[in-house]
Amino acid sequence: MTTFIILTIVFLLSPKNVYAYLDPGSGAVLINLLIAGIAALLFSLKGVFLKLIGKKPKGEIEHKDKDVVLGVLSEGKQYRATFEPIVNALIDHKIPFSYYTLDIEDELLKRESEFMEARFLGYGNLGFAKASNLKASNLICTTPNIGCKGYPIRKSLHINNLIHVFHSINDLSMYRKGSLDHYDSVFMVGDFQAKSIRELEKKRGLKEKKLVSLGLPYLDTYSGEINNTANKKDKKVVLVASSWGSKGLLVNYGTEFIKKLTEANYSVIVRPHPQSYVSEEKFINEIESEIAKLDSVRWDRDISPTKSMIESDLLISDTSSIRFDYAFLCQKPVISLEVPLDAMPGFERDDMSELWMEEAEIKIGLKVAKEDIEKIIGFVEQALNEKGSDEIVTYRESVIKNFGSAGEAIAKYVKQVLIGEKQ
Amino acid sequence: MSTVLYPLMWLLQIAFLSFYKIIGSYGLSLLLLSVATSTIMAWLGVLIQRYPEREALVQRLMAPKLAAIKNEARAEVRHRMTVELYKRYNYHPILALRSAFPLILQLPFLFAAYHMLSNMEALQGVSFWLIKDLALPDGMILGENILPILMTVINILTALLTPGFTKKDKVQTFVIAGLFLALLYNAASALLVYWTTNNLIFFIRTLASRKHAEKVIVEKDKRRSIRELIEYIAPLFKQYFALLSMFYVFQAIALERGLYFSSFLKYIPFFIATLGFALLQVYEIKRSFQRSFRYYVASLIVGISLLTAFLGCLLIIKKHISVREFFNFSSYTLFTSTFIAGIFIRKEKYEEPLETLPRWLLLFIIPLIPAIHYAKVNGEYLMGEYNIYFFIVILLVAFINYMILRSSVDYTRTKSDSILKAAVFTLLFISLPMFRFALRLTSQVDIDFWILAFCTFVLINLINNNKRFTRALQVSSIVLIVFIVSSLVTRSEGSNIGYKRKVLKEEYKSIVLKEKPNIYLFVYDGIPNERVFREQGLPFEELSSMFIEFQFKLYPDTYSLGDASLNSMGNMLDFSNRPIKTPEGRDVYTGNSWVNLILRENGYESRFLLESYYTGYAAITHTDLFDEIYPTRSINAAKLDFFLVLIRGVLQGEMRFDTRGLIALEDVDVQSYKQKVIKEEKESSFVVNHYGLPGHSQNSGKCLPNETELWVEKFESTLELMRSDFETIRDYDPSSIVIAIGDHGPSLTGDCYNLADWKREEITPDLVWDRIGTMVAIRWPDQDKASHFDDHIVTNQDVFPVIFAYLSNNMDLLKLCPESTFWGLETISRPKIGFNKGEIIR
Repeated sequence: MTTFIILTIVFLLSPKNVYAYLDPGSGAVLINLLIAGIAALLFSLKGVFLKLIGKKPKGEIEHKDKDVVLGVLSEGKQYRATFEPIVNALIDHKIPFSYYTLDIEDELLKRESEFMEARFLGYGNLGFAKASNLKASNLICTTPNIGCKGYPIRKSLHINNLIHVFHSINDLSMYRKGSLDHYDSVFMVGDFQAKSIRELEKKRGLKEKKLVSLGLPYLDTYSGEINNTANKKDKKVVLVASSWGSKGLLVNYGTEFIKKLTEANYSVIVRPHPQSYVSEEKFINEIESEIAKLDSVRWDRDISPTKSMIESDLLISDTSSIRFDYAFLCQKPVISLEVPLDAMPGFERDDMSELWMEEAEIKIGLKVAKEDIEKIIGFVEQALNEKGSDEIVTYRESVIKNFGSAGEAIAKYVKQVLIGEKQ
Repeated sequence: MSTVLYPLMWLLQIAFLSFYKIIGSYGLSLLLLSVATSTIMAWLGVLIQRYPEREALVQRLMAPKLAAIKNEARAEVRHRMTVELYKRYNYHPILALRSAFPLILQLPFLFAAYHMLSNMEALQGVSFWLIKDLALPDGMILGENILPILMTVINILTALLTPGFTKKDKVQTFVIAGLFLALLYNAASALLVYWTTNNLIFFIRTLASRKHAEKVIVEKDKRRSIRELIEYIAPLFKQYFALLSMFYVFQAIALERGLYFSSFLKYIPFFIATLGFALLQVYEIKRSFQRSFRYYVASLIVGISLLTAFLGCLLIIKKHISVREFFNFSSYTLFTSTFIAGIFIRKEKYEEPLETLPRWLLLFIIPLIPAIHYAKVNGEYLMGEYNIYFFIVILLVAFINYMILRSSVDYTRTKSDSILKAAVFTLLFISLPMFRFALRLTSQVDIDFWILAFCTFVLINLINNNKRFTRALQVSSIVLIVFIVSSLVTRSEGSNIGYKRKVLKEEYKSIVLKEKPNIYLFVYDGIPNERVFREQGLPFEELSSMFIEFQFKLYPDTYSLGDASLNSMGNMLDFSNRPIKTPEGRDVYTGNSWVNLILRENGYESRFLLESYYTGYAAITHTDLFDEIYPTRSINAAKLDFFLVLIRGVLQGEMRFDTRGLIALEDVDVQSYKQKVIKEEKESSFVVNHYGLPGHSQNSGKCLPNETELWVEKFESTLELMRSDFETIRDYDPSSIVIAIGDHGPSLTGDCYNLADWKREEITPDLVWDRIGTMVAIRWPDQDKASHFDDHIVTNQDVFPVIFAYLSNNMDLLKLCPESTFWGLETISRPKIGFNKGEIIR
């Protein structure tokens, strides 16, 4: 049919000769080129159309590029601690994989191994577009909300198994709505996460994901960095770590309680979330100015919290997962300051009947309601006296799978299950 | 350039004139314009600042690895590792140009201001402060221009004080400052005021930013990135210059007089292309030199070539050879030696994106696309086996281009890349006549092709993997198929074979000529009627006097019903006004015409002194319709002649009306034979000659600046010939009828061609006269008798009915005169124009 149409058009548009001399036939060639261009475009679009509806075009040429069985996608250097243990373990187990990053300064981009193909995807929207079109049988990623409306990265049509790995200790309550809706598998930190995942699947009518408890890779990184040798010091040190945004303790409680701590002869380290410097710079600068007037208070801007964690004896935080990092890595007590629910709209917790955090935060320390903040000193003393490291370690072991070796566990799982299935 | 920048020029002009309206001073308006554009450039600079920063960052990140790669011994391994590193960082060497974005940003503003201020009449004679005339260079101190020097000093200071500038950056800026000084030294003061103020504002901003700047650029990284960029683009340019050199060699082959360019517009670019090729080859030899036989040979060849060039210079100085000869000879020497030296340079092996067969298919499919097209629209030039030869020649051109690349150029590219470049280059080259015709360009200057080829080369570098090559092959195949189908469906009539032989109608058979003097039909191509001469100020007096002297009657306001030689003469010899295509025109001109048949029916012999262009193949097939054709030709010679015309048209990059084949006896020979024919004792001979001069404009669709002068020069040489013809006839055949006509007008007005861009209502009678107004002058044996019939001569096509009426003394034959309305000048977007006795019919 196409041939007939083309022939008809060509016949109807047949050019006249000029009346003399050699004829370059510029007019005629434009017509032919137009027809040829349309034909070529239709030919190209046919392939695109078939791909869009999920079919492979006939006779698609086999490319010499190898098929990617396993890919790892990182948003940037801020997730190095999460991906480095996985990358190291995959290399150790000689598992070929591709590492994709959206950050040109990602240190893992420099890693060279015959088993690892590292690629920077590009800046901004170009990078997101490429991330949305990655080709791999399995893709491990820590970014929540992939594929959700309004988020820059879509789930690629060429990924068979999109796997989520966590970058913090928590159930899904601290993720924004739709966080794992488009994922196919989840490498859980521990079995405790299964409940919230299944609950949300049921409520939303989603297909069941494959859930495997393999641990939390970034704890592998920090567990090596943190030693718990007791530091001799005059005063007890309290670390105040705040989340950013409306759920941050600095926003909800201000600095009054910090003043009280200093008056009670505690040294305080104040560590806002790194994101605060980006999203609420003015507010943080104001807080810093206020704090600067106080004695025995240090402001911590380091990317890594480990130094402050080692130095301190107790952590005061809000809903941040640093509480669990602190408890499980340092085996020291934590005080959780209550953050009102209405300060956290749009999170998964809206659709969850139970929050693991509410039970866990009691296991690792004390919870303080907003109205009790005046009594913070008492709570600090209580926590320091009552919560020992053994108790915390026991709890940790019941919650976190493969503590300190999550990366190794993930690599083994990939080798035995994912690649084993492919073969 | 000014066309591309027109929107920006327009905006600048609006702004400038608006400021002037408010302030009332051109000088202050320039300052304000400068502030405004500096602000815009600063804002744009902020938007694009991230790109140079990204470039610096990626260079810093790749630096350690690149240093390690440099230590790798084998070139192939170094190349692979570098490619892998670039893939890792999603980098391409062309991105190094990001560093230059801040400079590139300024250029459009500078060029737009240059064009705007250089041509602004309002600034003439306007003074500002110490500047006497803003439209002229300032000449402030003892006639020396101070503003350009001030501008340069500010630029140099800016370079010295820009934070983070390395030594290399500073040197670069000094060079650019020097270039600007050279370019703008003699520019209008207005431009200097504007641009110097821009630079001053930038200088002040630089001072302000010095406090806050951080040194983010590492000198080593920058140096490395520039070296890498050179290493990346050097092979690209070598390919480019190598193929451009071949472009000129092919043009030289198409010249009628040997491989020698006489125009500096050709031999200088040829020399530049071959020199570029040679220098880059020297760079390659130096860069990859190994102590081996092949490299010594390559170096030796280069050395000999340079020595030859040096000797050539000495010979010029000693005046043993001309500059023209030097450039031609040097170009061929450089090209040959560079090619041979390149053969000796070691080639690397790379993994090919395409297999062998698809690769070769690519080389042959792409050039065939325009070849099929030309064969279709110029079918009458390809007879018999020459259809095949034509495609063979085109494919040979592609193959040669490929061999040039592969043998002597490509060490850093795959064969697939070389083949694609050779194929696309050949496509561009072969398509050049179409391109130039569409854009009304001529082949005098080749800058259009240089730019087109360069842009295409850069784009082709994006095709670098199997998928893209395969796509290129698929798309080319589709295009070729479309062209083949179109060609098969609409194939133009090839040779003249196929036109029905005319058989005299009864009405014509009944024409009995009572007198049978010799009849001479002399066509002097492109001579118009008196009206056109006068309207365009062309020299008419000598022609007029000559006609009086030799007793010709010149008919006023005559024109032809055809606007080109073959359809004009075809209609004249068939006394018709129907549309006649070129092949039919040849068929008619070579004897298959009513005039010829009627004359032969009445016992005339026909003698055609016509070039191959006017007869085509009919010279071979119509031998029963004439008694003599001169120059004589064989079938093969005729075919070859036409074939060569087409090949020449293709290779010379323009299809001109004066492109000739082989059977181009000098006109002198034909005219000399004509004289001999006139002097012969004969009776009842019908002798036809078509002399090619003065002709009409070159049919590119654009007037040359000296179009009229060129035509007048050719006309004046034609006058000498005409005088000679008329003298000979007066002396040897005074009782003959002599018809001296032009077949169409000179086309010296409008676009000097078919007025393609004119709307119907814009076409005036003068423009039509210029195209179809013709000289018609007849020398009658009996002028008084002729006057009973010749008042019917309005068009060329009335001449023979009038002659027949005269010879048979029969007024009825005047009804053979066709209707005197010309219809023509149609284009794709314009219907036919009618013209009748000076009136346009719409």
